[in-house]
Amino acid sequence: MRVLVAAARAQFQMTVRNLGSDLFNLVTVPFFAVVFIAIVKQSGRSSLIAYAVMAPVMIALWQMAIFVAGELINRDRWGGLLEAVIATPAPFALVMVGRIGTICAFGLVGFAESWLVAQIVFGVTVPIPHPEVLLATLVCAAFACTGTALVFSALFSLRESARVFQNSISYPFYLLGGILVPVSYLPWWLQPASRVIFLSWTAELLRDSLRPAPLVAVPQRLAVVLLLGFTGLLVGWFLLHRIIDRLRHEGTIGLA
Amino acid sequence: MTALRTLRPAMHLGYVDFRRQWSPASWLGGWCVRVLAQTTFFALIGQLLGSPLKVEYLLVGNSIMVGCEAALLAVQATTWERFDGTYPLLVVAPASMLPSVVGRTSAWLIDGMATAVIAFYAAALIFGLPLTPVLALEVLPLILLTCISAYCLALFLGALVSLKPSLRNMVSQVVRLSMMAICGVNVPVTFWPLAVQVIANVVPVTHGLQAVRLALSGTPPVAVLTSASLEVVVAAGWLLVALVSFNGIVERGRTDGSIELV
Amino acid sequence: MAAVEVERVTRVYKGRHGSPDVRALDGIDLAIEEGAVHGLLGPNGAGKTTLVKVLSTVLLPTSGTARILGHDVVRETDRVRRLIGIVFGGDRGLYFGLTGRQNLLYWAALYGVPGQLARRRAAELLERVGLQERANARVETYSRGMKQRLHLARGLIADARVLFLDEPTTGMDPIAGRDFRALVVELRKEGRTILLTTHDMAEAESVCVRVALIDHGRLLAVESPRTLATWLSRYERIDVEGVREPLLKRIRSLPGVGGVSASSDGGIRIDISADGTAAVVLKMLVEAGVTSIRTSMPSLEEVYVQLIGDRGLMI
Repeated sequence: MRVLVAAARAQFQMTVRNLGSDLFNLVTVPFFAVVFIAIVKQSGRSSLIAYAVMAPVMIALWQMAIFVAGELINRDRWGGLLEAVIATPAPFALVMVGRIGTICAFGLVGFAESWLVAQIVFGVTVPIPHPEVLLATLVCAAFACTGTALVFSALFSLRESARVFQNSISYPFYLLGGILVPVSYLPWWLQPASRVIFLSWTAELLRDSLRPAPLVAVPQRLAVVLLLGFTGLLVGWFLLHRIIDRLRHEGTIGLA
Repeated sequence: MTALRTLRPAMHLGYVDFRRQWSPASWLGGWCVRVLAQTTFFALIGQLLGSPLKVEYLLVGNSIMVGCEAALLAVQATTWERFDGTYPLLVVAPASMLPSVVGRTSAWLIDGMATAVIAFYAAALIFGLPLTPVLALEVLPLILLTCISAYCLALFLGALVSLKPSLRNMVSQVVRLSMMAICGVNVPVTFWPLAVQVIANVVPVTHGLQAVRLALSGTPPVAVLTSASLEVVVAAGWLLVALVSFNGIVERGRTDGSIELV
Repeated sequence: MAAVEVERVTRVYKGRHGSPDVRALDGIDLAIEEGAVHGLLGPNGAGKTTLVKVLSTVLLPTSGTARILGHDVVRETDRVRRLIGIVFGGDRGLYFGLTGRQNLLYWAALYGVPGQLARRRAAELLERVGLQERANARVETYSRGMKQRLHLARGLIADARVLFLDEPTTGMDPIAGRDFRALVVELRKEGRTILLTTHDMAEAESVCVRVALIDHGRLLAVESPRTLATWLSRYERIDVEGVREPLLKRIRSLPGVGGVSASSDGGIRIDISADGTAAVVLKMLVEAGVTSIRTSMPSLEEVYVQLIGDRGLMI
């Protein structure tokens, strides 16, 4: 636990000091909010504002996961820190979970940004009839994002070539994740793939939390988000363990 | 003549930069998939809104915009001379810096044009856009022009961020997303307040995209050519501003000593 | 029990794309007594850092065994990690976005040091290495010497019994390097076992009890610094100008003169290959009225060349 907290604290300290780099992903969120809300407003379909407001939240989470958390291991490697971290008694995966979880938590700021854009730029106040569901969903989403980011971080450290796909995995996942347009609009053969991405479950819950109608099966849906996050953690943990072992065998750990 | 002589090796360098980032397999299997996903993402919003017209509007706008976004990556590419340590050498060289920069970053323009073309025609096919062969050929130069115009803006922005290279990603993203919002990509320019409309009319994409939309809707060629000409003027304007900026920043660097040799 | 025991450790890197395998370590045997400061001296690429990586559990040996205070580095990784500290040289290896104090507290947590103890130890170490005034400043604002001292503090935060200092004074100015070596001497007095890798003979000589010479992954010799210095002086050379041929002929024929050759600046270089010969040659030159005389020591690389059997020092 000490390791987790220390890693989270250190990452928090580093992230707030690296605003121009780490947090600039959050700078883009209001722009997405402007674009999506403008589309909906211009079409006169005010009932879909919730869709437009929530989509940037998931973009924020995803971008923090891929572009910041996904780079952690490589950054430590280039900074000559990877060897030093691996040489400590602390489980490497636990250190990474602490740091990545902190980064993903920063992604939740996207909700505030998006909500404020609706208010300030478009004069639209988005009511939140189910605030507890919203909050629970955001927390679970951050957890699930952590698991996903752990997997990506491991993959990007294993192969330099995998990083090429960093720029390519945004919109395909936004599409599959139904972050704005529900999954039901996708071809039937793509929809099962959507169900194993936490974004789709999160998007639906977030949109539902902004609708006045009573919600259905919330605990079960949150459980799915948590389960997907936990699965990501397990896979990421396993991958990291295997990768570090393999790197120790191949001798490509660190750059000294 | 010196400019032309510089252009070729600079273009080769740009190609090497590009190949360091993308192989043919990763470009096709990664980048193109992302590009199609992005266009589809926005086109589906039209379906969510229940409007076939909106589907077409979003599809056309975003397929071309995604190519312009790729061309805007030239912003980052212009800072690589700083990171490589070759910037002072370019300053010292007798030739103007602009041909070197244009040569090296041209790979991203070509990438942008190819991206826009693939995105547009593939999305048109997927969503059943009524595109006759004649129409398909007619819009091609307009698409390419729009990308070139975005690239000219990227050159200017690249000159600016060379003063503070750490801001290159932020500047590129903010400009890209702003253009996505105000240049008629997702909503008509007239949706925005007047001040925003004025800005939209002097930045790339707005007029080129309008030309494409007019062509697709069967509007008489005069209107299409007018919009296209406006885009040419915008592109030329930003190119000129880029040239002045590069030279100005060099002179400033020589005055304030900010050009490091290391 | 030796603090560090290395038995026939070999590390081979598989060649890629048809290139040959690289034997970074080739049957290394080494023992370091507890409480000793042992140097590992060698040029770049000799295998020093590879050995440190193996001993610090970051890299697995291809064959052979290594133990830290009796614990095998491969099978008892966890135990070993709790006993060691690593100190790097250079700019890398610190979180630039954190302050000096924050860096130490973070690493303390990774080593399982309880919070209160960590804070106390961090404060003590920062004072010890002379960084207490800058403890709350970000590492990116530190000079090279300050970063190096912080590296040392980081290596000590878990009160490691065995320390690996991997080229710790890389890039440091002479004053900073001297101060750092003074700190290392203090650590020696505390009974910690230290393995110091370096390519600087003078550094090895000033702090180490014994020095191992390594090249191309093999240990060439393990000697006291004094013995190594003797070896160096044995291969001294004398640069002269204005010496006539008959005198040169006499010098050339002396036993203990390795060779006489024209140097690039138009003078003559006399290579010495035996103890005591330099004094004889110098006496001859002075008696002959030669006034332009300069003596110099060979570089470490040149000593290696001698040790691995090449003829002469005329490289």
